[in-house]
Amino acid sequence: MTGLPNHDQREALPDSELDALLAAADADLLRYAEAKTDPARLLLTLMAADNGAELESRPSEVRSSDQLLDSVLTAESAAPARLLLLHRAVRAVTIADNAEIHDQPEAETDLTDNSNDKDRGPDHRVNESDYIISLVHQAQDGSSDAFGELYRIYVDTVFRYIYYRVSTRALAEDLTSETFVRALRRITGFRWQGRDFGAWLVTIARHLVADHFRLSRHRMEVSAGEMLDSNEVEPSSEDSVLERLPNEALLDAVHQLNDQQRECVTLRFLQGLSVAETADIMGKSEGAVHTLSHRALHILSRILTPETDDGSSGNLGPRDFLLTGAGCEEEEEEE
Amino acid sequence: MPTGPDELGFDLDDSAGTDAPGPLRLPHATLATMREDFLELCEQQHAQVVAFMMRCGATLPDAQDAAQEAFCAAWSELTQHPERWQLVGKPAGWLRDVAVKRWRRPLGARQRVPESLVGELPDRSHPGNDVGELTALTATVQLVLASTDETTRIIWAYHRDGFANVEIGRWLGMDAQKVTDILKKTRSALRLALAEHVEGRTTR
Repeated sequence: MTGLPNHDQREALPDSELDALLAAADADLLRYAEAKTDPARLLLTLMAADNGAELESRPSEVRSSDQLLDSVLTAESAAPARLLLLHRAVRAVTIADNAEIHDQPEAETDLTDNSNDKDRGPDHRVNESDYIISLVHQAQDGSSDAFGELYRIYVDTVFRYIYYRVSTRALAEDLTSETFVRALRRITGFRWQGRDFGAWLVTIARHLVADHFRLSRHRMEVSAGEMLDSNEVEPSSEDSVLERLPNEALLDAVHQLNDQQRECVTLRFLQGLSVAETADIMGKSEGAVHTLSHRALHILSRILTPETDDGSSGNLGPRDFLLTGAGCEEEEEEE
Repeated sequence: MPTGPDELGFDLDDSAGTDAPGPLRLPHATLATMREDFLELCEQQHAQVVAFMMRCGATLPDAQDAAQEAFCAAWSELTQHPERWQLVGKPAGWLRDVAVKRWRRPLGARQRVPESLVGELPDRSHPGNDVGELTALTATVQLVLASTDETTRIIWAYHRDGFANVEIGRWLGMDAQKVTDILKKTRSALRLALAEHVEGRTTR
């Protein structure tokens, strides 16, 4: 009766080996739990613990990922106002090009500011700014309600910024959550330096995105979770691709820009930040941002402007870009 | 020094109940500092409490819910009864104790559904068996633990998180020697199962 392991042999597993195996199993379980820990859940845990009843009564204020993505891609919600802004800016550059006027960066600034103020009234920016300042002060003093309101106001901006950089919805959601968790932790240290609170959040997001790409260079595997999530995105966008074509074309064109141009356009036109705020976040001078955005708009103009029979770019108004899908043909960027 | 919630003289199920006194009015700056410390505690302990609960036999969603309730209760204690929170010697043990009690609590009218806001977030957890994503080694350990009774699993989970047998016995209301005996038995069962695991790996 030899050759078969018996219980005595099995129990001979030495203590040191048993301990090593148990420690490895513990570490694996912890790794699993960490991977499944959603930072947004932690944030909401704290907010709910702070004032559970109030938060439970207004769940609709937390926007789902679908709503966030839709706000970027559909024409019915507020976000496409930013897309319209970018359409207009691109259009302005196209018209300027056609008239052989090549250096009018001021035109972008005017377009940005007018669009916001016309829609919201002249005092809106001042009132909005006071409101945000008040919310930030309250949040710094420990008000979770105020932080919740800041979250509601800026989650869209932060998500869009990250989404444009990483192009994966699930990852953008994770990094958005992480941005707010980090902001909550550091809000007491936030100091007004003449820029919007959103710019501060975007700076945090920017660092997180940079960290993500830096770390992912060393990552060999793709987790099953990421694969499943990225698969989920495809059908929903395909279903409505025809309805969204004009904006999709614009977003595609934005993706063809190089990193700096894309970031600049995203911050300036999709987030609606000023040149100064964009410059601050990107760590560049305002002049450099002007140049960068102007160059980016030229490229977008080239990508999006349809060639007519006579070789000109047609004579369409700004809304025509949105309504007709004009300029959806893509060209190779000659950067 | 009392470390378990029960010894602090309050009913865990009612820690956020209606008969509790109104929220303590803390200076905002104090609250902000407390919140910062608490977030740090969350970051350090949240995943560990989830793993602890899974070792106790909870599924991932149950473990996450139990952990969430424990952290909510901790924040409530910290902000509303700071004098009681100061008596908690080991917040890590307190959190586990509360999480276990919330998890074991029978379903009924007093069961508080975890915050509804969480339902608004996209669920990225995988449907199906949690164990599928763990290594074979961890799955083996979890299977062995699953074959034991609940108290044994809880004792083992505390033990693996570094708590002393005396503490575990005090929280679970049993003699430290009994805790030692249970741990010894569990270790034997794991030694046997893991020997098979190692054997299977080497003969493959």
